[in-house]
Amino acid sequence: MKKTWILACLCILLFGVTACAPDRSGQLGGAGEGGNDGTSSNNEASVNSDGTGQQQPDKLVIWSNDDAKHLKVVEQLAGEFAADTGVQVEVVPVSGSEQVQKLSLAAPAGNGPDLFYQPQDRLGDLAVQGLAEAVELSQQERAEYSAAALDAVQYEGQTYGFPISIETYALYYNKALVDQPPVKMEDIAGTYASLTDAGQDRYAFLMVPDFYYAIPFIMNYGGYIFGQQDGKYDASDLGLNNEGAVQGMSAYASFVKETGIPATMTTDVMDTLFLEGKAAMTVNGLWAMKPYAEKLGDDLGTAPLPTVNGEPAPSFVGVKSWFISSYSKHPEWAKRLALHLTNAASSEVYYEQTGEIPARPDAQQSIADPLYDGFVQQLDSGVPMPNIPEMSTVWAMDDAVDFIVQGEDPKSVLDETTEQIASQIKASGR
Amino acid sequence: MKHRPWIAVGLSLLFAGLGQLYNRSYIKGIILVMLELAFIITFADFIGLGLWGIATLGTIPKLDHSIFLLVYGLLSLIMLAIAGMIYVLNVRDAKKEAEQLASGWERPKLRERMKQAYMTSMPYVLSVPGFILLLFVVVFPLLFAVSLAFTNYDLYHSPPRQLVDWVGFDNFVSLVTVPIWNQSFMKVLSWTLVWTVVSTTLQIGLGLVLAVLVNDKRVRFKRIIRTILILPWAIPNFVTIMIFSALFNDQFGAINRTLRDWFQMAPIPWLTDPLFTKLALIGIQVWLGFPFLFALFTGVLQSISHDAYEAADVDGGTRWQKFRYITLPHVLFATGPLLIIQYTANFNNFNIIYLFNGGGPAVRGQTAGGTDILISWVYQLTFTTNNYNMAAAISLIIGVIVIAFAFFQFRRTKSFKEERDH
Repeated sequence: MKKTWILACLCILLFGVTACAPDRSGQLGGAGEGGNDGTSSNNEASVNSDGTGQQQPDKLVIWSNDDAKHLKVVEQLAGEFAADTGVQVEVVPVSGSEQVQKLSLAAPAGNGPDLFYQPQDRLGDLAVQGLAEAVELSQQERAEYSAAALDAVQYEGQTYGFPISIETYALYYNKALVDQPPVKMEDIAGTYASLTDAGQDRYAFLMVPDFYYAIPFIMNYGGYIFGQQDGKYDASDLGLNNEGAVQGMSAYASFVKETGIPATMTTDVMDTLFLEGKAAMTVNGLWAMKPYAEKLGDDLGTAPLPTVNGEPAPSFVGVKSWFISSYSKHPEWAKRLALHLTNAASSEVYYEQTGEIPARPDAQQSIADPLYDGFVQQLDSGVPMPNIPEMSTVWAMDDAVDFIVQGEDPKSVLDETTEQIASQIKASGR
Repeated sequence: MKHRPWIAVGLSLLFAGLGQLYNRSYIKGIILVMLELAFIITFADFIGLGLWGIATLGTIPKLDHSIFLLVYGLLSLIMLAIAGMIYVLNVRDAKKEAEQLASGWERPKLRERMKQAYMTSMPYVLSVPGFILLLFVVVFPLLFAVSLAFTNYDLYHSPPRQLVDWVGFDNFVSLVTVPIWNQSFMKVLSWTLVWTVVSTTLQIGLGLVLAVLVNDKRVRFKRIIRTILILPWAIPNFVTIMIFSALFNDQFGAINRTLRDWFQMAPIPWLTDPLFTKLALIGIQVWLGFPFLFALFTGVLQSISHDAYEAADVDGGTRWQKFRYITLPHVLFATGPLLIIQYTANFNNFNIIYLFNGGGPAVRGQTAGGTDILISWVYQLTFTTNNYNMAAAISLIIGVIVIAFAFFQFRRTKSFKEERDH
């Protein structure tokens, strides 16, 4: 009984020994073309930047976000491209948050898109996994996009994306309660003291105590997230517990306390209070504009964030972009399609249908709605959210902000959190 | 010439079916020979690639996709295991038949044999499709997850650009040596156990008490009461949890507002103090969980024969004795396995922890929030930084704990033993 088992196992083992590496001498040459190191095919790209060097493909595939408005406008713009060039464009809706994972499986197997859609903060992940292709843009092409947007789609000194839209947060105010938006963050508590009465649920100024909204305080006092060298982030250089950051967070804590912002404020509660006219000012993103405007009508105003420590407040800027897949067989044509999708005319159409701010100065200027003014102005002082993969560990700062707002010592909290972030970066496997 | 069993064994080892041919079972022999030939011709390339793939996980970045290779390798192993099983059966069959032939056994007629084979193999034939489905739907993903725990699969070792490598037990070693993992592990594990036992026991207790009360003959409007009690179950639980999260808000939630307006109480830090968050979580879970158990127990209670209670009345049994010796054994006997599932479900109840307060409030000096259970902690740690290997390693530990618990309990449960006795 036992013997037969052992013998059978032996047979299987023998079989296993015969299994050996597949012969891939034929495929090796092709590997360089499909996946790239960003050098060889880039040179190629600059030579044929008008796309004439590559044979015209029958069809390009593009993964758009699956949100209905976005999908509709992308389909419309892709249709224009097809009519102009004769290249069919297949628009496949794939949820933005799932694209990276699907791409890593589909693209190497040859089922991926030529062009896909991602916010710029995923760029590091994309580059590390070799999924997005660096692009060479001419001076003229670069000049079309706003500098902030192009900065945001750079990774390790190379440009990857074609910016579609750009977003940040700014100040919303209720004109029925506030005549003039404040200029200095530090003045808010004093100037609008009469509007705050926690017992009656009335608040002059609300913002969610999170790292995302606290970054202007950290940066304007001299803190930073990652150090930068030659346009590259250095993840080993964390500036979240330097002297400036500690001062900034102390200033933030006293600002929150003096202004009377509840420590457990959430976006839902804040929105409700603002819509009910109980909160006079809030800090929120562009996405809140529609519900706010529907409820408040003409009373709604926007403004750039008040200055912090005498300087314009640097808010986090996010940029949604098209990226060319490393596995695209027609990168030149994918680039042409991306340039078409983000040109001035397309950007205006995109803005009209989605309400997102285009990443091009010319299209930004053509926005007629005065509510956008505050945001467009705020973009000037915004900072791109770091796009290296290590950024995901920095959100541990949310807890630090909580502790500091609850009155704990900023220095020790920041030291602790920075150490945590550093060790998490170390454990992430880079 | 004498028939020699060892020749049959040797021949069938050499190639499936040869032994049967030697035994003069020609049909069986030919079928087996063809089976092995077909298997080799069809799968040799794939299995070769798969075994090479699972051993090396690829050698050339961008060309070799480690995760695909791992999948091929696991599939190859499963196929080899199936083939190996058939092979073993083939050898045993050849040996048995050869021995019988050697001892002068007369082979029955073909028709007789067909009938016999049909009778003995029918149960196997019927269960094979289900078994194969089980292999690919349950065993294969499980093997995949277990394999990942022994690799370095994280963002920086992600195909297609990079290869994944086997690292042995490194992940488990770093789980106990690297501070961000080991600092919080024991705390999280102990709260997970407390959470599981307390919340599940309470929800079972409440369900049972309500079921017994409502089942009493003297209670009126049973139907309405039952409907109302089952309502919490009818609402999708993530909606309930989000609403509770708003109700428990420290400053704006209805609960603290009510306490302030009616009893002039200071706000209770439901979302900012770990202890109160834990209490709130247990309360919400009991609310979410009891209706199912209430329905379950009600069903069982109605099936208990009245004779037993009448007999108890005759013997002068008290209310408590009737409950303890008639109701409880009946109920637990019928629902035991489902109750165990309640415990294991709460052990991994990610939704409530994550949706109520995101595992928070934060606790200084540790990576886990004050109410994180293992599964939500793993989620937060590994999916913010894409440490798939650590996720797999911790999931493996969670799996072992749950399986050990379930196995122990299932073995003690009467409802499963009973089946074995029959």
